[in-house]
Amino acid sequence: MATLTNSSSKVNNSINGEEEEEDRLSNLSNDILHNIFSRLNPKYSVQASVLGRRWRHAWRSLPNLNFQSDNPPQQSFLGFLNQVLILSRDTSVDVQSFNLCYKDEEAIACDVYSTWVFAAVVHNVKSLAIELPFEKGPVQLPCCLFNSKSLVDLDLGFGHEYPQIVMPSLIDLPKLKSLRLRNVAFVDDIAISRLISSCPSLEKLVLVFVVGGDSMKNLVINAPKLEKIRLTRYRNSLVDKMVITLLTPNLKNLYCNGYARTEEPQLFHALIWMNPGNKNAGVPFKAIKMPEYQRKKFVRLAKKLAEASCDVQSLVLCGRIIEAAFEPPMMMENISPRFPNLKYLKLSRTWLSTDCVLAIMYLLKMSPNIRFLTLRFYKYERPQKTRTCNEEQFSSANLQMSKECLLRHLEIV
Amino acid sequence: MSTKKITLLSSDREQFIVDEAVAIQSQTIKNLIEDTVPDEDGIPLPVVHSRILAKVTEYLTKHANYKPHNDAAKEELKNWDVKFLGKLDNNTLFDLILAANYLDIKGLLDLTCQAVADLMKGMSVEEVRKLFNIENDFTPEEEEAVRKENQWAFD
Repeated sequence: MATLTNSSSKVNNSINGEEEEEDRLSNLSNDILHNIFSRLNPKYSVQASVLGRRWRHAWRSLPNLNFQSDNPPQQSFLGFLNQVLILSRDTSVDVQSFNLCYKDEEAIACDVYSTWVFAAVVHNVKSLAIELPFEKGPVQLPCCLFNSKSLVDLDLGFGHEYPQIVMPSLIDLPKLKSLRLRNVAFVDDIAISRLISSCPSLEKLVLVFVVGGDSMKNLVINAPKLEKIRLTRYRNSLVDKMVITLLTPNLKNLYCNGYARTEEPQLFHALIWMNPGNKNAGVPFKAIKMPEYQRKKFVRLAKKLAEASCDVQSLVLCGRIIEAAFEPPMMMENISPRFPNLKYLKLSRTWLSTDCVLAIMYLLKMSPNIRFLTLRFYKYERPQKTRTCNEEQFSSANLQMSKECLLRHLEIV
Repeated sequence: MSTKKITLLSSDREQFIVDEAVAIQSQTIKNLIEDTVPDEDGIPLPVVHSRILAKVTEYLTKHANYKPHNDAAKEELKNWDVKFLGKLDNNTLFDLILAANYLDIKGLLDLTCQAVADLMKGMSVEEVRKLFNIENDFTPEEEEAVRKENQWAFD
């Protein structure tokens, strides 16, 4: 507060045209200085030690250590990390975050990095992110990483070789809330299930391109506090017939994204918010993954998804899934409301084919309480352009049905 | 929608009337509203000058009324932030950092700290000294010693 008062008197000084300007930077508190320096290359904060006495040792207690670069780490950098993290570290100050990210093509051995992970965990790191192109061989990270009492946020990405991560026999991450794994291989489905169930506080789980070979058959996600899951499948990364069992009573947000082949547009894109108070949200929800380029199987998958999501409040779907899941019956008259709670519906990547429009109408008929509807269309001529459809455009889609009756509940179209 | 108004009082006793939703983005103000008996003139913020509080409320108003739903909206908000920063001189920038820190507005603190970091990016030690009027209180011998001590970071 004292600094603040000083600064306002200083303002008056400068208004009075005083030449000598105050050193505002050095007067900032350590917290703020650390905030500023954590946005710069850590090397820079060490160089700043020659600015003046105030700066001499400030870098030894930097709470956030973020190393990001597109270039491979140089030998001098390895020595630098040793200094910052181990040799010169002010051990009385915890490391809040440690972030090491190199987007290099060349794979590296992991043993060098274990020391720094170890040092970060010893300094009670809360947020740890490592994205390095490791070699194909197994990645052995220090056991203490998987038994850290302070870790809240863990983000691991291992590059294009998909190295297998070695799990210690004991895992205990009591505070971990967010787990993100990318380009990581597990020995089998049990290893990954075990990791997840050892994080009792987990709220957010992101698995992108996680590989497990043929042994990945039944992935059990058992996390009582988990609210958000994001799964992205890549080639055979999650095997075709894998069953995912969700034991997640608090799940609010599920996103699955599968690619049949990398060059194909995404086929399966669904985002579901479970109503947290919904009694059915706790029932294990099984989603069966299949090769989506086989249309028949995709239809089955989509229908399963639709069945499983019948109690949700809001739904985001893409056109392909709408067509597949909501193939309308011949008679549109006697349709039971299958989505009694659905209030928000967002349909993206839709197109105005007859099938698709019919499917949308069917879906709307089954959702008597719908309030908000957003439609994003891909136009045939310019597929990259999307627009939000208004009611006029909606009716221009050659709809013969009495849309007034369907849309009477809609507040926003 | 309730549009309860909150009156904020700057150090020079100027009143700023904002929506409650705007004001409570500041954790400090939120706590003050909850914990203290309201002053007749408003919530006193004795360490924030009206010149700075005007900037703070400008930022808060924009960010309260703007919930980005898509990438385009996020981009627009980002552009607004850049413009907002562009109008500030260094002194105001530091005053805003202190105000954001005192008022506990994370978004504004991050934005302004990033701005200072951006100013320093790519500068030599001497240039930084000059830019922020940092007094070199080392003797030449001492400075040389510190430089030597941390030689590994200058390579």
